[in-house]
Parts: sequence; C-alpha cells; structure tokens
Amino acid sequence: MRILKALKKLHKVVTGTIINIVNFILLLPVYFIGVGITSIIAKLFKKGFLNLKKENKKSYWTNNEVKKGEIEDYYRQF
Amino acid sequence: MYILGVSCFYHDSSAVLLKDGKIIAGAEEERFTRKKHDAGFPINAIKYCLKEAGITVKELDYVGFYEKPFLKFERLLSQHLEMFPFSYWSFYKSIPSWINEKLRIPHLMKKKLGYKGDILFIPHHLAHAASSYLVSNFNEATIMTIDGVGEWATTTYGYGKGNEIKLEKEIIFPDSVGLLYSTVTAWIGMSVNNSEYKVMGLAPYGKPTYYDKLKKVIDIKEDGSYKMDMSYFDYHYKLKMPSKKFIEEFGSIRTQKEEVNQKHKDMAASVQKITEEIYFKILNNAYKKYKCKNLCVAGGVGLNSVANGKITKNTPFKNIYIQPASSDSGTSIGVACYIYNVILGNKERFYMDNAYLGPSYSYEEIKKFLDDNEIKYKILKEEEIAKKTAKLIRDENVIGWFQGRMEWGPRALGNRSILSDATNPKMKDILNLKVKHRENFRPFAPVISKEDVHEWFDIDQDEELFMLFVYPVKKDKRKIIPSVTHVDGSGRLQTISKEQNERYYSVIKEFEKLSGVPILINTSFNIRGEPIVCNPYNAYKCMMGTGIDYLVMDRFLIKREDNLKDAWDSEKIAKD
Ligand SMILES: [Fe+2]
Repeated sequence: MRILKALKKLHKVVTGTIINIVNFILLLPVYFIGVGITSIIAKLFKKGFLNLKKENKKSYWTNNEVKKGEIEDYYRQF
Repeated sequence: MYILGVSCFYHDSSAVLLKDGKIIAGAEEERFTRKKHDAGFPINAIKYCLKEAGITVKELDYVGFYEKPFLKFERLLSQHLEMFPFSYWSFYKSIPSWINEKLRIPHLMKKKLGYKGDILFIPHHLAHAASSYLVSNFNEATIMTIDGVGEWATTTYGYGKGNEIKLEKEIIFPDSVGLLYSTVTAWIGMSVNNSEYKVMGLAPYGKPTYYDKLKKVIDIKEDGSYKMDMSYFDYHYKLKMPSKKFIEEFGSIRTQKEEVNQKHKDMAASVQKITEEIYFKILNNAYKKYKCKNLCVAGGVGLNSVANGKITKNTPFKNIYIQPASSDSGTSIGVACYIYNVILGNKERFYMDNAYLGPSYSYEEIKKFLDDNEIKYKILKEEEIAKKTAKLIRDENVIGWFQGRMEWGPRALGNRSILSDATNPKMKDILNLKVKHRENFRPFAPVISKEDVHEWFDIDQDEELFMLFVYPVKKDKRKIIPSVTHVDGSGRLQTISKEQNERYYSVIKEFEKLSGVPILINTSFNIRGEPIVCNPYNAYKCMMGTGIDYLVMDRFLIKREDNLKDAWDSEKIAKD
C-alpha cells in the first residue's frame, strides 16, 4: 500500500515536471516571437498597452463604457 | 425559473442558485474541498446548490459567469506586450491555465457539469455592484466597487435605481488601491489575497509615519481618483508585488523568521490611512453627484471593516449595505441577480438579510454520524441548549457551535462559530492557546443582541448583520469586555435578533443572565489555515484537533474529554 502511494506520488511529480518542461519550451517561441515582435513593432509606432506614464491630471477617473445591452451582448465573452 | 451564478479561477470560487429571484443556496468551493481560497471550478458548490433545490443541471434556465474572460485575457496580454521581454516567467506561469481553463468556460461547464446551454458573461465590476445593490433593501443607492482588479477596472462608482445599475466612472489596471494594499501585505511578509485583514488588524498598533512616503507612490485627487507610480511595483509583469525601488524606499520585505516590529505596524497604519482617504474621497465625490444617502459597497476592499465603520462619520451617507461575501466569491450572487433583475427585467428584488445559504444537517444525519463513529454525546432538550451552552461559556470553556445552514462569506455568523466569554480578560490568550494560534495583535470579534447594541457601542446604525463594520466600544464598557476590545477601543461586531437566529440569540441572552453582559466572542470555527467547517465530520475533527472543550451540534452536546480516542494535533498540519 505504502509503495503504491509512493509510486503514485512519484508519477505525479514526474508528469508535473514533464508538463512544466514542455510548457516552458513551447511557450518560449510564442513569447519571444509572437509577443516580442508585436511588442517591438508597437513600440516603434509609440503604441502603449498599459498606462504606466506619470501624469498629473485634474482627475484620473475615466468613463465606464459598459452599457446595459441586450441579452445577446452578455453571451459574448468580450 | 432557476439561475446559477458562478465565480472561479481567481480566488474563492463559489456558486449560487436563484429560484424565481430568491437566493435558495450558495457556498464557496473551499468549504467542500477543504482548500482555503480554493480557486478551482466550483463543482462541489454547484452540486450542493442543485441538491438543495432538488433539481438537475437540465432544469437550469440560465447560467452566468462573473467576468468577461476574453477582456481579462486582453489585459493580461497587454501586460506582456508592454513589459516584453521582462515578463516571461509570469507569462509561462499563467498562460497554461488560460489555455486549459479560463478561456474555455463553456467547454468546462459542459465537461464538468454537463451543462450544454449558453452562458451569460457579466462584466466583473458590474457583478460586484449587483452583488451588493440588487440584494440590498434600497430602491436607490450610490454604488462603489473597489478590488484588486477585474478585467481592466479596479475601482468604479455609479448608481442603482429600481432594477437598473449604471457604473459611470472607473479607474483601470495597473492603478489599484486593492493591489497597493496587497503590496504592503506582501512587504509585511504576509500572504497576498489572504492576509490583508491581518494588516488591517495590525494598523491600530502603528502610527501612519509612512503616509507621506506612500503619497509619493500614489497620487490621490480630491475626487478620490488616483494614479500610482508603477516604478514602485512589479505586479504588472512579475509574480511578486513590491519592486526594488519600493524596497529601497521602505526597507526589505519581512521574512517569516523576523518578528512583526514597529516599522511593519507603522506601514500597516499608513496604508490603512491611504485606503480610507481614497474611500472617503470617492464617496464624497459620488454623493455630490447623486445626492442619495444610501450606499452599497462591493469588491475585496469592501471587506475593510475599519474603513466601513468610518463611512458615516466621514461622508454624508446614512445607510450602508455590504453583502457578506464582498470579495470575488460574492460575485456569483451578483451574476445571478443581474440576470434575473437587470437582463430579464424582473422588478422584484431579493433582500439578503442573513448569510445562511449553505448546507445544513438534520438531527438524524448528525446522530448517525456520531453513532457510526462511536462518539460519546448527550442529547439536550431544546430549552436546555442555550442555558447549558451559556453556563459552559461562563465556566471558561471554548465552545464549537454548529447549527443550521452554513454561512455564506468569510465570516462565521453564528452557525459555524466558536463561542466564548468576552468578559474574561484571559480569553484571548486561552483561545489562541487552545484553538486559534493567531498572531497576538489580531483581535477577536463580539456578537451582541441587537436591542443592546447602542448601550455598548458608538454605532449610528441599528444593526450590523455581517460583521463588516468596526465601531468604537463605549469608553465606560471597554474594561468589561476586554477580550473583544481592540487596542484602539474598537470592535468588529455582529448584532443578532431572535428572528434572525433564535438559538444563537438565546445563548447570548442566557449568558447575559449569568454575567450581566449580552456579548460573546464569536470567531470562525476552523483549524488554523483551513476553511470554516462545513459538515459534522469537519466540526468534530476540528474540536478533536484543537483545544475546543465542547461541541454543540444541533441538540447534541459532545465533550472533547469524553472522546480522547480521536484526539490529534491540528497544529502539525496548520498553515498560514
Ligand atoms: Fe473582484
């Protein structure tokens, strides 16, 4: 029983490690090519994705654009 | 008509079921899986809801989800596009769960639940707003939502009228007072999305000496809007919160070995002051716009009971409603009610005046559990329960109190509670020694019979249903209830009436006959680091693993000493 439990645990650790390694390798090109090229091009055109700039406005509130829609609008995931 | 609301995959997953507009069941997933803040798909909570209603998945008319996943993913991608190439580790850590789960909600609902219909996706802060306003007893109210982050929004305010909600203004990621509070929590060496309430409890021990320095980190305008200097933070592209600059400015992050010292207390006091400043400025600004004295608050920051308790003194608002699960777990209520009231246009709203939405166990079920496990017990007559429990409390015992339906939200409110004597100055230490093993700075909370509240607390409301407000204990009473009076003379109270929970109320009144004080300590019934107990097994196991002296479960009285064969040491597994 104890051996079985230990084997199960080992199996979990091994598969977890393999999944992590595969993910790490697969996501490398996605990040450095997909995200990277888009990011570099966007930055060349001075396009920002997050507002990280320091600014001193009178107010930082922005309008919430969510309008009450039809039921179909809520079936969308965006 | 049955509507299921679901919230999951961030923290504190939950599910709620509405029947013809009334909430008939709701629970957090953690209570079933016994994993604190469980963020997984709430299959157990959903199954419980369906069982409570006696229906199957096929009978659900609508299913709603607590956010727009693609919008949240857009925000995540934006973080990586902005921070390339420094965010790879966070990208690698988060993307797999997005691909496997978070972007495949309809698929998951089908696979795990067998639900094949469409799903309604409610914007996150709208779900927060609905989770408070739609179940309040107001016909119109100002609404403020304030949390870490939803899809993009982190803070909003707007207005509710009838069955309509409009959030008008927002502040978006990365600016977030919730994440600022979490950053300070991490800096004090405590767990993010878990220990923020400890920072709040620590604050009265300190002075806000870092307030001016924190003002360099966050610029706050008179209208409550704010902007953060992101060079002090890493959370927008790393798995940690404070940046190198934050550490240079405020000192190094506290390690687990290091004691909490005055510097940490002062920092807690400072971030609490900043939070309150933002809170009240937003509310005063919103009041100017809407001129309505009713207020609904929602979002994780809405659990800041210290700030909540000061709202009426610092703003023109007179009536405040906050739903007990103000943070993300509560959004499943918002989702279900939003579908019923706003999308489907039903005008009649459900007023949530108690938190007892979880599972209950019958006399027969409990008896079977006790007998099957050869647990020794006594059966009390109905009229004996309160008297006997009050006497045991007065005799310095710690009581596990397990009755009726489990509470919804993070607070035990008299059905899964540990009760003890608030008048005993040693009780805080006794509770910590026997059960809680808490940091010494953390206070215990009082429960008081509703009709007595004005005699004991400086409170401008007639009741406090969900322990979400801290009020000062009257100066001349502080010495009488030392175990529930915090260092600054305050208490995070719950009021209870006979109509709301008769057995719980009766224990308090019987205790008053013995002590002259209608107040008990009420703290959550759990092992340190575990969720609140759900079923009789959890309750019994908790008593036998801690120093709880008696368990009052329905009419059964179980004494720990009579069952030492099942004793164990919960501290060996305790986390947190
Ligand atoms: Fe939230």
